[in-house]
Amino acid sequence: MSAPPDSPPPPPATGAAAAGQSYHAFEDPVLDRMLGIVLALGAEVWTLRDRLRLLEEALARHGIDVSTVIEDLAADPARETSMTSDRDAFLARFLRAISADEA
Amino acid sequence: MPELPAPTQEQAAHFDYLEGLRGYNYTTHVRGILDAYERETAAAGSAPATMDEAGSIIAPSALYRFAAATQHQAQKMGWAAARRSLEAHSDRLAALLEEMPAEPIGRLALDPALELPAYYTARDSEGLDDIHLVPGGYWGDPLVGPTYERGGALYRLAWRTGYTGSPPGALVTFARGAPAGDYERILDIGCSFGGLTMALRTAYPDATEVVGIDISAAALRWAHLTAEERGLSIAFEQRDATATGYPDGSFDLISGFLLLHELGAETLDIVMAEAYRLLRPGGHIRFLDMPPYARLTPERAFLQSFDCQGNGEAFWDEFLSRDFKSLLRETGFVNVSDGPLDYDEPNYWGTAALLRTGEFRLENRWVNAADKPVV
Repeated sequence: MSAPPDSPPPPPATGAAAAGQSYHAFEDPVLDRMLGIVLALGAEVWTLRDRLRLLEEALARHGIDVSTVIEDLAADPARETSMTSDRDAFLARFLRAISADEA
Repeated sequence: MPELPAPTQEQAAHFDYLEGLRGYNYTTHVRGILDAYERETAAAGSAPATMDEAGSIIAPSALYRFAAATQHQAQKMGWAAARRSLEAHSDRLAALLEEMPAEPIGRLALDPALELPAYYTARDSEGLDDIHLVPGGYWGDPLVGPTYERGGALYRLAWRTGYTGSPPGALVTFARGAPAGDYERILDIGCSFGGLTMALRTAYPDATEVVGIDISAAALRWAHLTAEERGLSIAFEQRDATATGYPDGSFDLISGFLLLHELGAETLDIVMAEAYRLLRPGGHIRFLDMPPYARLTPERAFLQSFDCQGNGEAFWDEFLSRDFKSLLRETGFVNVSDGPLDYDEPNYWGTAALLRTGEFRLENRWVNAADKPVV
């Protein structure tokens, strides 16, 4: 499909930073931004994991073995129903944007 | 250096993550890029002769795209994280930079009338990636000093470990590498936060004066604070290296660290002519920078070139493609020499260069030296 004459010029090739543009490694700068989002999410996940581990260690210092309690809770069949329903609701919220146009 | 505020758990974890991310990118992705390159050229039966040819093999690969994009994103995230960790303390740091030591052993001379050259400010005002991707470059943020202190250590994967010396031993070794002689007056051009200036003072404690010049007032303020705290007597002055205003023959030794590649060809010509003028007959110049592309294999030269577009290094390709030794000779210098700095300090810079070359290599830092004729 040929582009209409008044459409914006195609993005420059890899690495070329035209006036007003930041560097991008992919032809489409959107991909660089998406990677930026993924890496930023990774930072948040790591930060939370680090904090959670510290929290468990802090509780252990006060005699609460939270890791064992968590494992016991996770293995409890009674939790399965509520967890499944929570998970499905989470996924529906999380992925709503993908099917938004089909609704 | 004035003590930086301790990061919170979240900030520290963020730094750890970024160091891990960059380390993984360097050691896994870049290694993979080079392995694939070697396989491809071996299968073709001939190796590219130029960096452009090597680039035409490397650049289209998905792995290179991801590695380059990761490097770019991680660099931006690193500066942002470093700056954010200072935010809650910005009033105290700003006051520290404004007040300055009451009884300094060195001095700070700022020139509010100094006009910053267009090449220095243009990228920021044009919306391009700023130098090293730091928002505001070296001059736009009063807290650029502490931001660089923390972000620079993060860049070198050393935010927890620190460097092996203060000032870093590599810079002291470089400073001491000048030919034996009486260096009474020493000048560091484009000194920014004073790392090399402090190394020069450490290497030559008996020199009459060690001077660091830069055009960024914010950088000079931090350099002055740091030198005073380390008990190093240094004069930091806000001057443009193209027209310093010092009399002819003012200095015995003129040096610079990572300055050359920050200057366009025309500016560099002028700065070298000015250095020649400022040097007394028989004086010595000594610069530490990146190796020229011609001294690297084509594929490593291509990886090295990433910084030009990917790290806001506007003049990187121009300088590293240039025959700097010829420029020195044309300027009038003699005994022109160059080569790698023989000092192994991976924490200070080895890892920072990994994306460019795939491994720690001594020649990631390159010395250019020359003398002004006696007559």
